[in-house]
Amino acid sequence: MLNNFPLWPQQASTIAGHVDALYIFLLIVCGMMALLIFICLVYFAARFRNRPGVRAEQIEGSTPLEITWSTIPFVIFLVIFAWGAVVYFKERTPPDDATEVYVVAKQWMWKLEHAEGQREINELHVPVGRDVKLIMTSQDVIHSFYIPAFRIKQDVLPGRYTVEWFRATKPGTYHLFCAEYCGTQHSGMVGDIVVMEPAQYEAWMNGGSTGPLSATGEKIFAELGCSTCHRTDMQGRGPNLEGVFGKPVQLEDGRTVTADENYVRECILNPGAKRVKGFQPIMPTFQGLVSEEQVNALVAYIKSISATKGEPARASASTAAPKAEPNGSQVQ
Amino acid sequence: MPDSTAVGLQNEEQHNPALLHHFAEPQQQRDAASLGMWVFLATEVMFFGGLFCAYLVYRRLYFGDFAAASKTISMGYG
Amino acid sequence: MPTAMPQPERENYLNKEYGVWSWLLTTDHKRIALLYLVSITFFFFIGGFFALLIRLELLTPAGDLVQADTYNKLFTMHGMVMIFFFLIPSIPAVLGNFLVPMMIGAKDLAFPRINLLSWYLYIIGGVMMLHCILTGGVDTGWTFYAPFATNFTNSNFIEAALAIFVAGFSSILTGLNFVITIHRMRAPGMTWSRLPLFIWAHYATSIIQLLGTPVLAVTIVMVAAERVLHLGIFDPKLGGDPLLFQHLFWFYSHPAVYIMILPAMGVVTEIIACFSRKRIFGYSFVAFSSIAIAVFGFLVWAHHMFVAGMSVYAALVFSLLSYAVAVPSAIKVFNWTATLYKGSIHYDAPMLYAFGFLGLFTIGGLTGLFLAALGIDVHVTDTYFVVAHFHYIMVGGAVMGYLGGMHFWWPKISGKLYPEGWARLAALIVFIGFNLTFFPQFLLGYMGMPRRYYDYSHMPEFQVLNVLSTAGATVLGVGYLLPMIYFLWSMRYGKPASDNPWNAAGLEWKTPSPPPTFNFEEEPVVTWEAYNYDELDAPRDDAPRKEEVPVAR
Repeated sequence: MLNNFPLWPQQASTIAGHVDALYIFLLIVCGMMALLIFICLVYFAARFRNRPGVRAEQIEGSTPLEITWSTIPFVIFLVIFAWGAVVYFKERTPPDDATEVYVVAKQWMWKLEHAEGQREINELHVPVGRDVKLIMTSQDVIHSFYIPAFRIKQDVLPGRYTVEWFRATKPGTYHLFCAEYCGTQHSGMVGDIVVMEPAQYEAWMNGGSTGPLSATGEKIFAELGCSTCHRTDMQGRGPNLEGVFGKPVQLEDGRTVTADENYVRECILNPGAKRVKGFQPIMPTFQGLVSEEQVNALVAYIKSISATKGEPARASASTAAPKAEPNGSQVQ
Repeated sequence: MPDSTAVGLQNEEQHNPALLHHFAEPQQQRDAASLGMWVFLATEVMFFGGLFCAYLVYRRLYFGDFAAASKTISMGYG
Repeated sequence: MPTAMPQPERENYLNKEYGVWSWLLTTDHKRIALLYLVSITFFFFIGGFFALLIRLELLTPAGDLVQADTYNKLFTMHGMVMIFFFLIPSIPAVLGNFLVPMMIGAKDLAFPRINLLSWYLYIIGGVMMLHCILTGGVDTGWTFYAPFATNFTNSNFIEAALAIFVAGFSSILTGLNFVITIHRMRAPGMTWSRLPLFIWAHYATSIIQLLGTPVLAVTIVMVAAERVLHLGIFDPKLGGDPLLFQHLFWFYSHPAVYIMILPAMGVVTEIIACFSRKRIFGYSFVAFSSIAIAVFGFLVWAHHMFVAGMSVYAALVFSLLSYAVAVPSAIKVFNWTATLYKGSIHYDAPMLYAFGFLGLFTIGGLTGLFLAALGIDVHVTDTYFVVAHFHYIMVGGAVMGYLGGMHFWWPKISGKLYPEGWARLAALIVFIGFNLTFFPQFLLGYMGMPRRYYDYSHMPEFQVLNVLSTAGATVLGVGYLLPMIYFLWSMRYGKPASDNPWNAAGLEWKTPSPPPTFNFEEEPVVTWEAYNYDELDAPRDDAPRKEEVPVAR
């Protein structure tokens, strides 16, 4: 028991150093404030203990002193706030080109799927030095994906996606915890993040997969009959989905939203909520007909058919078709 | 100020039977009751305010669903 | 021979009437305070027992003492009982009920029957909660987040929720009573600026109770409706939003923590003034900082949700406001410390508790700065860091304040003196036990140990700190048992107390110990400022501070 008694978690991500720096700053500042107060307390307690014949001096107060000891701490607090905000921004802004991993949390396990198709349960293999973005959702209750060594945590909610990112800096195996109470085996919902050298990671990746997630999505798209309405010519009863991901979409009620992961998911599960302008409300809901993993695969597929770069939102020029779509498709 | 606050109640004629023992004067009692009622109403505002807020948020986000649901309202249950 | 003649006991609120009904149907604020005292002490030991079991389980990494479900129920019931049935009522319902009318020179609260109703609502809620515990308990966590509590828990959650709902109205009515009493029942000459700071603290607390608790009540109604009727308010499968629950819940539960700490701050202010023999430094600043805490406390709730999936910009706003709410608390700590300067300090047990409060509240408050920092909160939220932070404030702060206040006003309440030597020992044991229990948890939290884990066999490196924490908890338990024992002892065997054994300022000390039912023989007319210790300690009055009554040691 005594051999393994660390007092500080490992630093294994790019953000960990920033978090620790702020923490140490706070330890020093708060430590000094506490020390100052304790020294005053101890000194006053000793120096002004009751002595026969010595009376207390009634002091009403001192407004300048009050202003001083309100303003100085407040300024210090603002500095801490600003620094914390900067770190937080970094934590919550994933880089654009990060590798994506889909996470589905359920009571009481983590199911992960790499974009390339590898599936993992309670384990995540990542290469050192690569930005990794986790796109997460829950099948049941709220969970939280927490990697102490990376200093990151994000609640995982049912009904929507939340996002978390990191770049690992040190190979090794690190704890993964569920950090939002989720029922009986909440303490059992733990796992490992395995950070590997790039070469090792490639080797691991090639050790069998079911094909890229987007290909799975393409299959589901066809199996569920989505392509019946979502055709790539202008004849479809539903909007053409090529090039749609990440672009603004005009809705029937006048709003404009961005077609991100949450929007695509919502369209699949609750099509009436944000109907695209110019189309009839005839899309059936697939709530209960698709699992979270299948929704993830569909989202990956929709992303993949928008993957050609430099496409304006409503270009009429034909584009080079991605993957297996026919040529001459009109981009909506 | 009449001395009707003394425990022994010396001045009977100044003691209104509706005056509760812990109040000095009827006016104080009325003020306390009135202020008490207003404060209680404020708590009721907070109680229902949260409920109305939640209702309004959802009504704005899902007005289509509300419109559709209103067509299925049972007149019997109100 | 003169000493053989027993004196007839002077009539006071305790002996005015005897019999169970004279207590259960009383409208005397002092008797109601004692009814509360008995009830909350009972719930304190229930909550404490659950805490003991939690700490015993965490001695070893494996989950080997209780089953997972049982552990989940233990921490849930510990939280619910301690927060709703001990901490929230404690100081206001016991010390506030007893002292607010006396401190302002009134005969009773504005609405004595509503005061009794408050106690009955508390008891009804308490009985429901006890029944819930006895029929298996609830495992949702005291925070009962949706959708777990609404759709997934198999426990008797509705009963627990309704128990809290009922107890919430007890809290609202107590707040109502205090606000009206303080506004309308002050004795002639008792202006706002002459009020003891204990009253200002309870005034601020009551505002929070009045405005915040109804929101919890309506949240509970919605959660119960969701669970029973599947309305889809919080369930995403029906179009609901789990985050809405969190906003509604924390909108009350953050101000609730100020309900728990402000009264303790009021107690500590009174104790420090008395045992330094001087007026509090910066009276107006302390008074207004209580109000400022109450107001700002309503604006910071989402700092519990920085990783919940809220927008980054909302998080920024709440972080900034959380730093703003820290300033008034800091002002108070500085003012208390400055009060000691050039004081004449005595180290009786209440003052030891006040010193303990100062140290522990400072640490707890400073760690709040860590949590308000967004970048750090991402790492430490939902870990033992948060557990340590709030226990430093709730236990190291509020409970120390409560115990200090109980010691300070015990002579007034019971007419007896508690044994000073034992009381000082207990204070020391509580302080040591507390730090040993909760300081290691800061380290555990930064290491990454999550909350609400009964089994940490994947992380055996956490064991050493957990063992230290459990050791501290047993010491703390002993420290809490001692006052129970010697207060009860003193009721029978303690030396009788004089009217003002501490020679303290305040109208409550101008009545006999224990006071008569209507507090004052004649309505006092106040012509002096609060904390008039210079007059009380004037040279003519050079008798020993506690007059001629010896202190039992």
